[in-house]
Amino acid sequence: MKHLKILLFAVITAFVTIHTGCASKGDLDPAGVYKGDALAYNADQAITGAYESFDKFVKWEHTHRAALSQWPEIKQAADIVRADARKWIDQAVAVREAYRNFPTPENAKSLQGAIAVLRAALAQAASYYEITGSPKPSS
Amino acid sequence: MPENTSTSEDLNNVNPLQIIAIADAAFDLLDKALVAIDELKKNGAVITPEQQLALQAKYESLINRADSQFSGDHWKIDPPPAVQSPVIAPESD
Repeated sequence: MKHLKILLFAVITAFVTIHTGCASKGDLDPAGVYKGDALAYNADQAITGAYESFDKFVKWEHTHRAALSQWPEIKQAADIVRADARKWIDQAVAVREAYRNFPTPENAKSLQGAIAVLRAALAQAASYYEITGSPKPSS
Repeated sequence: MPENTSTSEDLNNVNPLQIIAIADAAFDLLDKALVAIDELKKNGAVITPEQQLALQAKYESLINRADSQFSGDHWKIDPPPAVQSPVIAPESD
């Protein structure tokens, strides 16, 4: 059981790491569509990566549910993602679109916060079964 | 040396083929993730216009198909299994 949890945690955190990694301003070719705006690039990467990570996780749980039935905390973790992922993504997209339309310092700060929330949600989803084995209350 | 028997006891209750299938799927995901990390490290210098365009397209696709992105069977929350109440035989007088 413990080994399986560690394996699952490694998979989820690996996806979180690659999909929400940060680019800095110097990493972006200014000729690209982001025009050197690392914040916009990082936001789009975090949003799309978060969705892909959530989708892979719930699909994996759904495919192997029968075999995983003796570890109910895994389904509980997946169900929390199913219930809240869209809210997390929608909130990040709303702030991202506000920054796209009005790239003000205030909106930039809000977008940085939204990215942090998304990353925290991913980490929290992984921690549900890695640490406590039981779901935590969603905000 | 103390032996952790809880893992083997838990796993003994599961079909070994299922455990293998689960582990295979998890390791497959992990392998892909590690390959992607390596690619990111190799390409660490500059994110090309083509890569930027690809990410933008992926983002636009996500927000334009928001409804369908969360509508597959694997996104549905199944209700917990119903608990059957015991059948009580009527008392005979």
